[in-house]
Amino acid sequence: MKWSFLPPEDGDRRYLAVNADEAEPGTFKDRMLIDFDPHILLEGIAICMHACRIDTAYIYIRGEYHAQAKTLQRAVDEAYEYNVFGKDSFLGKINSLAPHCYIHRGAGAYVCGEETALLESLEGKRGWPRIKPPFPAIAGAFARPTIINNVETIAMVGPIVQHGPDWFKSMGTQRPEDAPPTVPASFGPKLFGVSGHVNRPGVYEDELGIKLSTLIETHCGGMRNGKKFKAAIPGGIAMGILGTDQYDAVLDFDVGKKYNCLGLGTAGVIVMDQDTDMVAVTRNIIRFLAHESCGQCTPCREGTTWMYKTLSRIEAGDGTSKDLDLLLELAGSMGAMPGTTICGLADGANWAVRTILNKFRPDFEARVRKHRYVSLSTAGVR
Amino acid sequence: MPLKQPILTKRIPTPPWGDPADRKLVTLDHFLETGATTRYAKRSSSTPKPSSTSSKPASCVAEAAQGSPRA
Repeated sequence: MKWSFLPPEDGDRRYLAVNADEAEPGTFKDRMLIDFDPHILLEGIAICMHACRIDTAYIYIRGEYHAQAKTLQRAVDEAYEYNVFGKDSFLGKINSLAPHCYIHRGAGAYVCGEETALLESLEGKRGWPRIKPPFPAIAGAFARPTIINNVETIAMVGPIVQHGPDWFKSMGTQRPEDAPPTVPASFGPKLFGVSGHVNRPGVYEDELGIKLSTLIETHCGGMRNGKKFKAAIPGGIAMGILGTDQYDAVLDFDVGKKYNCLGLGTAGVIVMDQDTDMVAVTRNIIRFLAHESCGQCTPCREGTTWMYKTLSRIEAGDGTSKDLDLLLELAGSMGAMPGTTICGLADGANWAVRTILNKFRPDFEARVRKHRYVSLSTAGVR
Repeated sequence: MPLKQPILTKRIPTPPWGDPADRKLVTLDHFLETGATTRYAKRSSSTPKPSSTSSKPASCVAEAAQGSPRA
């Protein structure tokens, strides 16, 4: 769909930026593709460049992916030798372009996975998200039309070209006939990267629409040490959480509306068992997001820091019940008004805190009550 | 419906179709042998049309932050 947003050609350069900045905690599906089958990505890049008449592609790879960057560079070199890219490219003979593919390594900033921050970083600037519009398809890298797609998306291009769109649509879940247009269809296969308290964590490929319980029991060998399921993050820590009663959640693009979380995200599922401390989980998520906030927008910069301080207080046993309401208020003020921040990081922090606190409030209240009892006793109050 | 055969992981042994211990880097030669050639050939035989004839008008101004659910 993004490809169709490109404006008409004006004779100047257009770009493809492949987002391999896979920095979302619990997400490692793109790494597996790059580690073992980099040419499926390069094939997709070549097809995209041919279809959209693009002559320059950048693969923006996460800074910490040292080995993957080397693997990918060797694959790019092989592709040049086979004339997939370069001035003698067999594509170039057809559409008078000499497609080139470059690997650009990030420097470890989480926010550069946001597409416009990625572009800023690609241009050699500080990795800050840009205000949209203009969207990258109109003014992206170096102010030229740019397509930005994820590794998995681009890797899927080759199979779709080979088998056709009907084949792709035969997998996944259809949009219900009586559903409003805002409910998305979820076609195709998906790579689910499962981590956490399961017997066999790893990347598994299955159709969109698979149940969380099926993913855990069939692919991952069940919960680790026979313990009970408590919660799962459906796809990256900023997506909110699926509660204990949502074990059979259907993992498709409509998961957010159906189960009160933000969405499927990266499909990097983090599974937690009955012993998981949800206060610690929340504090850890917010610690990460506060650290990775780029600092441009006040709600995000200040909000994540305040939430981290509040959660640290609760985890240490110094929290009061007022802190729980304060957390919800902070989260709400960060994400209740969409558009108050440039990118989705503040929204993600909001959803993470709000859904975990709402779905596991007794865990938080128990921590707060215990502290109050201890502190009052310590103070000699009866 | 479970996936009948691997697609993205066709060359990457992944349960239930393969053992992760058997994974190894797929070289270009291996990639071409296992189905890519037809795609490259198919691609190189088609000439793309201009991607669009007119740019789409902007439908959203000050859109919600990325990832926000739409009402």
